[in-house]
Amino acid sequence: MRNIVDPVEIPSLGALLRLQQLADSSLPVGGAAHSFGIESLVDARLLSADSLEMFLGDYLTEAGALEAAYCISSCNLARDSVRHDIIPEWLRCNTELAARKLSRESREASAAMGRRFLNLSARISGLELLLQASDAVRESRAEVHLAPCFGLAAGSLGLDARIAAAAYLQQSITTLLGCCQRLLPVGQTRAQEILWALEPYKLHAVERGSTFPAARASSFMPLVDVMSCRHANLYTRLFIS
Amino acid sequence: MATPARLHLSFESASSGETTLRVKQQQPPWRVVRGFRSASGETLAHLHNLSGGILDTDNLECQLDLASHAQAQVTSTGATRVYRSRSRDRTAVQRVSARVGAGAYLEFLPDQLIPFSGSRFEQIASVDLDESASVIWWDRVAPGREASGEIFRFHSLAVSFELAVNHQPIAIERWTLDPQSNQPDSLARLGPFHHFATCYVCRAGEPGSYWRKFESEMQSLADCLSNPEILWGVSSLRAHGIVIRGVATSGRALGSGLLEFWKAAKWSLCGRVATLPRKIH
Repeated sequence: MRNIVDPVEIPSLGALLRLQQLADSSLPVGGAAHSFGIESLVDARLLSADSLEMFLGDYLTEAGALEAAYCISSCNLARDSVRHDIIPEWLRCNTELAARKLSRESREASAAMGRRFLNLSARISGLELLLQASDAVRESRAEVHLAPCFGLAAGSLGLDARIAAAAYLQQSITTLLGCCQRLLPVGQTRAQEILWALEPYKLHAVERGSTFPAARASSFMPLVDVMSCRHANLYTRLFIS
Repeated sequence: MATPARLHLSFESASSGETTLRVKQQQPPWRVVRGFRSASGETLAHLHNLSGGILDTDNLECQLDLASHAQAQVTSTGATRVYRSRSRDRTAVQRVSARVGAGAYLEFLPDQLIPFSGSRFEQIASVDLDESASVIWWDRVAPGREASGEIFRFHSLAVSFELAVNHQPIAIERWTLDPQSNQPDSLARLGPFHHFATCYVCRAGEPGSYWRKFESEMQSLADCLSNPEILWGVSSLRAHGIVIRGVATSGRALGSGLLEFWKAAKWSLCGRVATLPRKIH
């Protein structure tokens, strides 16, 4: 597992504080209500506390790299001061990501979280691009997803795209780990150990996500997709997805 | 990269209502003998590969054009075998593109893909539907020649699939399976299953409520067909269709499950009985 070798832009202290706020896993965008198919994996007795760390590492390699790619492309788009079609291009990027999310429940979860994140970040920051994007989504009723919304917000703050993607992955995997703690016998200390051990996977996902344009990013997760499709029919559910 | 070997098939709708197959271009190893009339009304074409499989220098292109209201069923004559690649820079490529005209109907039902030990293969497919056009399109992948003990011994398998309605994407798959660096048996990928399949059922223009009902019907079938050796899931796409995905420990169970979905989906989609392509009879 290689670490990022290219230097990244160090954000200003103010931008770093804002990023920390937006990347807080307790940000009220609904993340704690979604397991993205993991609840079905646990219900089928395929995923256990013992296999959780390895599962989340591979989850980051596949889904993480894909989401990172869309976060990075949206961040770069927001930082492109020359372009005049940022919002239409960003909406197209969201449509493409929606088409890549084959499972309805997981897609709807990502869209609900994306919409909430965009509206919240636009409201608290007052940044022009985020306000424009929020208005465009409201008017067009377009589906927007969390990773591109996070990237757009980070880009609006002038942050480096790879820093944005790393923060996004930290937020999403922390939230997912919190969900896993409700499904499996994983204590607080063990959860922190897992989160710490996943660092190389997060960096690898950022590296993979920044290597190619988002449209070429690869993700292979047929079992998680199947389990996410089956989630709606579980007898008892703790999560919406 | 070798010059592409091209196959261009055009399915045209005659005034009698029948569909005529025209082979516009055909270069070895591609071979299509003629169109056959299927009992359910489509014109059936078998895609032959005269090499018996895909070689590491192959660069294959297949273009399928369905005119308005044409009805076509396209299948292979047997499993697609991908032979061993002799060096790192030799990756076999197969591109399939389909344009389905207004009101037309396409079934693309190839046999399973078997990547042999040491093979490198890239499969690229794109489907574009016009208004009211329909498609049932499946793909099945085996881990290798299981009987010879080949389980995920290939070098790389890369798949790209794009399904669009009027050029707007509704489903995109893009993945690379590289067993040496990313373990297929990870729970994030296939877990204890070795075989996997995807089937898309789409008709341009149907509303979301139609597909939610369709999803519910097919999920009932998925529940009936699932057991510890095979798991099926069904989901509505972002618009215009559903996807059925399956993972299994055996290819046989996956194949027979796909047939059940195909029969049920075809009946629900167009009220016609699914007829197995002639090769299976």
